[in-house]
Amino acid sequence: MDMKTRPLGLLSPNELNAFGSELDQLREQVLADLGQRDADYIRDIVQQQKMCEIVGRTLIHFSLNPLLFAGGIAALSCAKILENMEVGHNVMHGQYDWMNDPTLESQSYEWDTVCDAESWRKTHNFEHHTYTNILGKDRDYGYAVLRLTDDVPWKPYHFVQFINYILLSALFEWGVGLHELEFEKLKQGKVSLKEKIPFLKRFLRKSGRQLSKDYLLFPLLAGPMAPKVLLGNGIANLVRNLWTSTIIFCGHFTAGAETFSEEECENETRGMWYYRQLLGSSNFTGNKWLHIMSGHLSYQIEHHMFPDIPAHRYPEISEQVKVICQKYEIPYNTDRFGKQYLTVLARVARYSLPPADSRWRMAGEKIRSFAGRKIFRFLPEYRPPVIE
Amino acid sequence: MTSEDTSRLMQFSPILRCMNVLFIQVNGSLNGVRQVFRQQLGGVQCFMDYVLCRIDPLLSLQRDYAQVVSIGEETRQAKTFILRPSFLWKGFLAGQHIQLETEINGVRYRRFYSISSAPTLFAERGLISITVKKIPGGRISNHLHKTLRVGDILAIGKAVGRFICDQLDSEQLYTKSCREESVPIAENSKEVLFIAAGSGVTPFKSMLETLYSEKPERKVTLILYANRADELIFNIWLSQLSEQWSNFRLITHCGEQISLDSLRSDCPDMAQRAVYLCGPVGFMDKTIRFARELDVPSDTIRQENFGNVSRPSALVDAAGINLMLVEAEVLFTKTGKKIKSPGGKTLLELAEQSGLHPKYGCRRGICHECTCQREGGDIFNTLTGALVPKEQNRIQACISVPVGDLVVSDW
Repeated sequence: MDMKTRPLGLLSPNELNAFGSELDQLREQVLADLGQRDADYIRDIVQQQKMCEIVGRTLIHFSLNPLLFAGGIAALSCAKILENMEVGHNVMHGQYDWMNDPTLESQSYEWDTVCDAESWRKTHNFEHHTYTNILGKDRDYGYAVLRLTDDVPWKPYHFVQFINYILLSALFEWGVGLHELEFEKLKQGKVSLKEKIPFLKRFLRKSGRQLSKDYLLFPLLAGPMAPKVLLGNGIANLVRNLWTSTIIFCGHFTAGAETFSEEECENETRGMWYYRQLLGSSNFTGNKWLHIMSGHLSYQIEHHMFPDIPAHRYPEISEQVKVICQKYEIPYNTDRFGKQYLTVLARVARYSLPPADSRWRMAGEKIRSFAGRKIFRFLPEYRPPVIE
Repeated sequence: MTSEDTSRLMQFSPILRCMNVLFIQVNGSLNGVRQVFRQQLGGVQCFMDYVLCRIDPLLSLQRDYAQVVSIGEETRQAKTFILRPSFLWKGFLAGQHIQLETEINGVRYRRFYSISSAPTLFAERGLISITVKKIPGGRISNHLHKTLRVGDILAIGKAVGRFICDQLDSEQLYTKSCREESVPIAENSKEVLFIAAGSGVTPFKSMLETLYSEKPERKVTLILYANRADELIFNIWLSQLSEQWSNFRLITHCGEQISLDSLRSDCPDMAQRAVYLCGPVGFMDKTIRFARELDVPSDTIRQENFGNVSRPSALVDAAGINLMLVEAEVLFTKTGKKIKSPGGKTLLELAEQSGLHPKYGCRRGICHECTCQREGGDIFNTLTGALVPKEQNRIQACISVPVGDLVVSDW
């Protein structure tokens, strides 16, 4: 058991309240300042996204050499990533509801992925953002597929979780789309399939539309070149899946991101909620375009503290959050993108092996010593915090 | 894009109209394919509309837009904007109003304005006009006066409203959908009395123009109130009309309040007439009270409110009151349910108490799952500890405590 370097009880209730009200103040300050700049920003991004999509789809259709075809795939991938991350995800959080613009309204927005927006708003905006990193309540922690902490019991199939991880990344939009099905609970009989019928209907409708757009309508428009368009759209979707899952994994599964138990979070105050969001999330640094292409989820900490503030404001907010964190001596988890991602890979690898008290321990030891020398040499060693 | 480009484009409007009909036909017949098109921002249809709007909003297939063709000054406070709606716009009945959308500092504001031109102008030349009076401190009216230029494009809504003159029956001008909304209350043969205050005269201009061209034999009286003589909107036009049209009587009162005596002397046969009222809320309340005293049957009076429909609750202005504990009454217009609260209950709790099952999530202001649309009324935000700004219509029900009367439109 290697949890909680800084348990929730480390700050006194008074300190937590003061911490919370400072962040609330920061939030009010930004909300009062929202205006033309934010409207211009999101409309500019929407326009660039549309341009990307037009260029991408045109090149995929009409390109006569592989280089242009690859360029088309790249442009369409960019368009899909921008739409999903910087526009869709952020709009659905209600970041632009204050604009009263019907095309940027959180509750009616529909995005370019197989995941139904209604289902996303429930599983992501509500479940994940309210119960972030609470084991058993935040189903985004490992997506019920990956074991990322010793608090989750080890099963033999976890030996192959690195393969599962790669599959989950490649099929990420399907994983997200089917998230509300709660497959693991269905298997255990905690929920019945009957309850899930309305969700399944919505899922089938949305994924059907999505499939017919990318794999039927556009290929058919290309006539004899249909297989080329089919391939191009498929690759663009795959690139988008790999990129989004990588970004998202860097938000909560890095070495320093912590998990919590349900008991710890009972009767949580606003300050405690902020504190938990901070401890459970991690940022990464990079240039402007890395931030935009990640939908500013590179500022995952700020995003989790202020999910409904326009994301392009996070860089400015983060400076002030850092100051507040220093004041209360709370760690602020950030590093270069590559480094953070390596710790994610290390975590996936590390917890694929059985804990010391398992009867599969010996097999785990064997793999560990073998892998330590060979395969995982490029990974930074994962040192779980010491428990006294 | 300059206005010449746009007018050049608008010459193709018959072609676009055909394209649109074709588009709707194709769209309607291919039910399965339509679903692919119909998605919101992810959908092909929205994508196409986005591209069309970037070329020129007047080409939009999903929203109505209008271009400002000319701007005229009626008084020092009132301007008339002549608009050319895009080809999708369906027309209107004299007396109806449209929603106008304008953006200030990134926020879109929507206000209703009565159409002041006659439907014939739209039928013949495709133009409508609205007349906007500057309200002291009014954000939208001042903004329109200050910034709107010839050639600008505004988002508008379809013509709506039941404030329609029943003494008119020029069916050919109106589309069927407009007509369905009107419920006849007055007999067609009755003589007409219009009473207006300030910019309340705007819908009457549309009605008068139409009455004059279609039913000049009908007797019409307009009683018009204004603060000052130079604030009388359409003054010249109205006096010209009264010279040309012998059955039309114009009575103006400047700087006076409406009174029982003046009403009696202006129109002794008020009880026999179909009465149409348009003006600020206080003016209308008074006039209706007087009309009752003059034995005017209440079903012959038609009225149109304007200005602030939701009266600002006096409690909100008073300082030092715990807004959490103010009594409230909420109306959910979609289901027609109404509930009273002694104060302190959130909108979400109230909705659930009145038997509704709205969608919700965290119940603490994080996830926006319970977001709903407010139409009017004040709301206290339990997270910020302050009132929610007036222009913010999408509100989170779980952290909103209604203060006074509140109207919610999507539950």
